[in-house]
Amino acid sequence: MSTTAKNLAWSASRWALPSLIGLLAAGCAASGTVERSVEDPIALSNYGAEVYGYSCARCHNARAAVERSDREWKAAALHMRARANLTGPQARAVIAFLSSVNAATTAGALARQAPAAPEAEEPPSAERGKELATAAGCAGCHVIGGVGGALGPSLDGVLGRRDEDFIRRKIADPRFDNPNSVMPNFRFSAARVESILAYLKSVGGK
Amino acid sequence: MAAFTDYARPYHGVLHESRVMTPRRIGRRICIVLLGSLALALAPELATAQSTVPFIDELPSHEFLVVGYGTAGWQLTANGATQNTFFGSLSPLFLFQFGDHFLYEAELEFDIEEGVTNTSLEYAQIDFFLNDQLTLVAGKFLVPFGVFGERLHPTWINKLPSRPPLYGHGGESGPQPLLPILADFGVMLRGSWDLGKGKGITGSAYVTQGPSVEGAHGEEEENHGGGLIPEFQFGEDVTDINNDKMLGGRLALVLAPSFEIDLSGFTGEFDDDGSRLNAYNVAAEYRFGSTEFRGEGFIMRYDFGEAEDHDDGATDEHAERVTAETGGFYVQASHRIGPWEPIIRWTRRSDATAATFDTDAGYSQLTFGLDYWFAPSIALMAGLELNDSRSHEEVPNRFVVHWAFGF
Repeated sequence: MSTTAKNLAWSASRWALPSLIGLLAAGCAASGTVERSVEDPIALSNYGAEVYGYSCARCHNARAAVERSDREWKAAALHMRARANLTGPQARAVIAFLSSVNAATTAGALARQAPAAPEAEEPPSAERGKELATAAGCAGCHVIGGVGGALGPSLDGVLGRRDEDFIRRKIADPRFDNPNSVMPNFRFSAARVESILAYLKSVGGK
Repeated sequence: MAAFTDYARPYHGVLHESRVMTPRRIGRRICIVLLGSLALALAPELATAQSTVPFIDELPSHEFLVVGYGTAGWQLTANGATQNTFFGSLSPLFLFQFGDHFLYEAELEFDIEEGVTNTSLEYAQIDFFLNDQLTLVAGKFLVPFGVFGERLHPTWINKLPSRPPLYGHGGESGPQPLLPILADFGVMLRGSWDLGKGKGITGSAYVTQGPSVEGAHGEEEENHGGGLIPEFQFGEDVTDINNDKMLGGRLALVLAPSFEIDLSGFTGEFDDDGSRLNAYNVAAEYRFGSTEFRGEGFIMRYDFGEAEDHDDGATDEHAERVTAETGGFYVQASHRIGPWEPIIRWTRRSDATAATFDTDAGYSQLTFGLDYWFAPSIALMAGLELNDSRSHEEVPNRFVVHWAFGF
């Protein structure tokens, strides 16, 4: 074998291993990419809460949704795509989550400001509490009935860890015990708080 | 023995001679493999780019947003006689989003030093989101070498009121950092892949202007303890001193939602005589409930070029060269208890006199901190630095309190 051929063979062998590793890594990465459905807005929002919980916390505290408008969050999410390597679906899910929280917060505030809030006369019920918890997207951040996000503590069995007064105060003023809480204040009426409390009692669990 | 450049002459430590092409080749190989990997991953993505989901159509597609952070603080330095000073800074970040595929972002930094208001362009970059996985970045950007410089250095994100003494700006008090917060002019391709269940792979590959030496080319240079290692700067000038570009990349593995490992490195010439800087970094972060652990370490290898002149200007790659190594690491732990968060950080670094982290030829710092969080991005942070310098100038202990405000 000529010297040139030997050099070529030597060079090829030195490149072979790292190239193979790179090829495998790229192939695995591309084939392993998870496609997320955007058809179900609640599922998208819950996925966004999940990403918001672990991805933001990798570097800093999670910011409250109410700090920015939906439009501002969109620009911020693009910034975090470039800075924190979020994928497109992850960024869209985070925006959906923050938008849903902002919408629920605004809706709660408007209902609170209504002169004669009809919900004030609602009899508290677990069924109504479930509707409210679903509309507010609580499961995006909390596990309820074994399903949900991890940004906040599990609400399964929460009444075994906290008393009812704590739950009431937490829903009415999420930062009363922790100034850094990113839980939105939905400004639920007292009757609605009681409904959510009844729902959490009905869920039980550990 | 090779002739040194001016900044290298004061050094009297242990050097070793070797054929220096190995790290250069390794660095280039890593970069090329990273670029190749990203290109391979890009191919199928580009093929399906038209089918990607629009970026939430109902939202307006343009937005201008100012975010950033500010700091106000006070420090007490015990250096024979105590000295206490107030300080403050402002770092606004401008974001202009254009449609779903473009973002322009630029960060300025204002502070005052010795009666002069310093203004600097921390970074200014255009982000082009090619598809759901890949982003092309151009301009002056934070170099993804390690994690601290690119993601953790804003004062409201860094949990302590001081940076690990491995990184920083030359004008800051405290020990001389080994590297500045890296920001440089160039282009970069970034990719990220979601593997489900909070796992993922991210990668970056970039070409930038590269390092230069502060005070080189005739100016008197002060080095780390009068040693061999010059003070590097990145992105300070749009003129490339040697037309040789820096190549680098990072590969990050998110093995679990709360566990990430990053490997990164770069290689680039820092003078016009073939002198080269190769740097390798490994970083890791793990969170468990309210407890967080993170650490980062890097090694820098310097290959000082020959002074031999060739008529055609070429560098003799087979010549013997002088090499040296330096590096350091930090580990940090913190635990959140309501609004309070105690932090401890330990930093070690070696000088060029020691290729290993020998206790007699390095520097260490133990930092105790306590934060009080008023809001997720507003905190009062206190830190006590206990410095142990064994091989270069005395570094005084320091107590720093600052109020960090992210907005």
